[in-house]
Amino acid sequence: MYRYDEFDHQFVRERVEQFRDQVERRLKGDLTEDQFKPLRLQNGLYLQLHAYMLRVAIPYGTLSSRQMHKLADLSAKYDKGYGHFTTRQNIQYNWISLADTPAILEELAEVEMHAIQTSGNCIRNVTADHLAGASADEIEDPRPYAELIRQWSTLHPEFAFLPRKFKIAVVGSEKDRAAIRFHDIGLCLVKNDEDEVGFQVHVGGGMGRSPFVAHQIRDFLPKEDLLAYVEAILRVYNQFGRRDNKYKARVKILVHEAGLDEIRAAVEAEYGHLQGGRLTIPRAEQDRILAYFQDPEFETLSDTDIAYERALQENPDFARWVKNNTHPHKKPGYVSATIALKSTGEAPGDADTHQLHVLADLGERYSFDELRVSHEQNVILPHVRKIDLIEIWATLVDAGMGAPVSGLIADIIACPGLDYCALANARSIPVAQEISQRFANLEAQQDIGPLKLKISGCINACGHHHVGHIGILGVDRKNEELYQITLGGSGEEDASIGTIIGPGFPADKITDAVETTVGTYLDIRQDENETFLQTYRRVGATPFKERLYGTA
Amino acid sequence: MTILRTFRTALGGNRSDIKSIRQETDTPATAIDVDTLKNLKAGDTGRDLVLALKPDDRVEELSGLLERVSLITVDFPAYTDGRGYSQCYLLRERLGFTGDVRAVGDILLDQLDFYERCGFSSYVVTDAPTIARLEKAGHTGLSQTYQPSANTGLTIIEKRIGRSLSSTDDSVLTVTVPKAPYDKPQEIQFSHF
Repeated sequence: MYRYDEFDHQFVRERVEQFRDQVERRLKGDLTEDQFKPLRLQNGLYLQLHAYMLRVAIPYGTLSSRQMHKLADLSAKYDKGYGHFTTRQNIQYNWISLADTPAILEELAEVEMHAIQTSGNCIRNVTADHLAGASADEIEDPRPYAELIRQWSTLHPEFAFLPRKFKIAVVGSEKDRAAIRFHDIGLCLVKNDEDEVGFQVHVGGGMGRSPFVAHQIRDFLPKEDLLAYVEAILRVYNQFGRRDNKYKARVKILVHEAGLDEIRAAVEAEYGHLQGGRLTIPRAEQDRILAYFQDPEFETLSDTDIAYERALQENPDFARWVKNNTHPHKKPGYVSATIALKSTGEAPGDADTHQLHVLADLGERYSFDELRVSHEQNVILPHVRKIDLIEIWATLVDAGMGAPVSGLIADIIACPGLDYCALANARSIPVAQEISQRFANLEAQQDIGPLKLKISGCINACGHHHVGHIGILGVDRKNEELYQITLGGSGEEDASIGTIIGPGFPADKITDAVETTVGTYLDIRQDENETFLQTYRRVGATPFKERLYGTA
Repeated sequence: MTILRTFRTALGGNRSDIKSIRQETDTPATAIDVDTLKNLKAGDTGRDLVLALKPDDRVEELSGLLERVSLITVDFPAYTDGRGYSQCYLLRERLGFTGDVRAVGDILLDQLDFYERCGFSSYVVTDAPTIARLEKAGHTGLSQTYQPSANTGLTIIEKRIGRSLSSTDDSVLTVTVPKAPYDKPQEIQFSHF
């Protein structure tokens, strides 16, 4: 994985001092809260309902064991013993004091981490496929390009005060595990007819109150022009994105209102000016960064192993975890393992200090010192030997992280909701907890099959409800928390936005409604191989509406 | 009090190379807007015009119209309105304007470095804590940058390349990469292209 050189180190150290100075001026009164707010947001510091929340960047979701140990230490020292992994592959601490933040940032800098641009109306921390560099279906590892974007976007002087936030995601395979079509810019590595690798560029996707699937703005972009093209999009957006209404300020609205052709013409014209200039990525720099992402020293293994096969046969609980929580690897004898932070009754994405240390130890011992965070709020060991899985699983079960539910209904995404967030209209975590308890039976979950359930506590859609096969949106109506159900969304390469199925349900009825929805699917699916999403796409909303609301 | 700070970003110096700090009353009253500039006839007026840009003015439409302009003010109605950064970038990099480009409006300490890097050569400050700080210690910018933007200093990438090019053998670049899970460095060689 990437390691800072002296320039990166100096940059982040100076940034810590810059923020320390800003905090001091705020505490002294030289900065008003209005003046300070964008500064602290650009350093990931939110003022929430009860305390400050600090969002630490985990660029493209990749981190080392040393970094994970540091995140664990910070959770004990400055928080109440927890960290919360987010849908943008970052980690949040919910109980931070303003005066502590410079010290926290200084500790992060020691392990080559920061909180730069994890919030604010600027280019946010870049995300990528959590199986990058490990998955068998990949054209090329997207992370070197994500790292180039990280550096280019970090304190870009022209784009610190955009109309609204701006999110970029990169994948290296046709399979989209990073929801690139729901980002302001989504990049996908592709091969052209000449067998050259470049980027397919999508623009204007997003969730929030006006969800849009991104448009493909360019079929093929040469790799060395990545930064020139992305800067061209940003320059067009910075000038012409709406600033009169923050709900219409994202680039998705600009693309929607101006039309893709007009935006493409403006971007291509700007790109024409930049092509061949200082933003062209020098081959030497590309090679320097690629070198950090070379394969670890994989052993030559046979694809399976007698002891491993025996363990699968003798231990059905282990076999279930392997079936659901491991993903094929490009090397024989290896898999990527998902650690689902979704134990029954727990808040999705939460890990306590001890668990964070366990994760770090597992990464160090079994996965070449590397861990990933997925946008589904799980942690991944990207490169593990199949013969080590039994030990890994046992350790996870001991630490309360052995939930064998990856990709199943209990693998819920949920935002922090009204328990923490100042923007929320309704609670999310208790709903997620109740649903995971209702569906705690693993046999039943297995029978239901692949099902993505996503919960947002308000229309800002941090819990990605628009792309849930089943989405739940918390709304406030006359001081009552109501939950609307959407069906048929997908954040993957078959991207679609879920449809609101009808009026919302009160908190004590939403779990029943989810159960009814799932029951309807089980009754009408063609066979057990037809997934929830396939069934919904075949039959539409009507059978679900009838069961939920009765026939009119 | 108003402080006008002038430096020489786009003129070839270091971006913190201050030319002068002097007190001024305000933006020059003689400033004209874009429409007036477009309607000027040859010989209407002399040189050294002052052009006042509004945030929604299209800079690229000014191509060929700036020969008689010596100062352009770029307005930041709120410091969170970032359109002026792109306007200045385009004035410098696209139109090649070499006169004074001045940031005016809601100008605060923590944005000054961004102004300089986008090609502004002066700004007008009225915020008292910002003035006090500028007189004492300068602004809060970092010494390294990842983006070329409109300033003339080398980016971090260019410094890396420069360092490797100035090494002994200019056909081979040696990069030292610590490789996980061990911290021992591993030598990897690449050819330049």
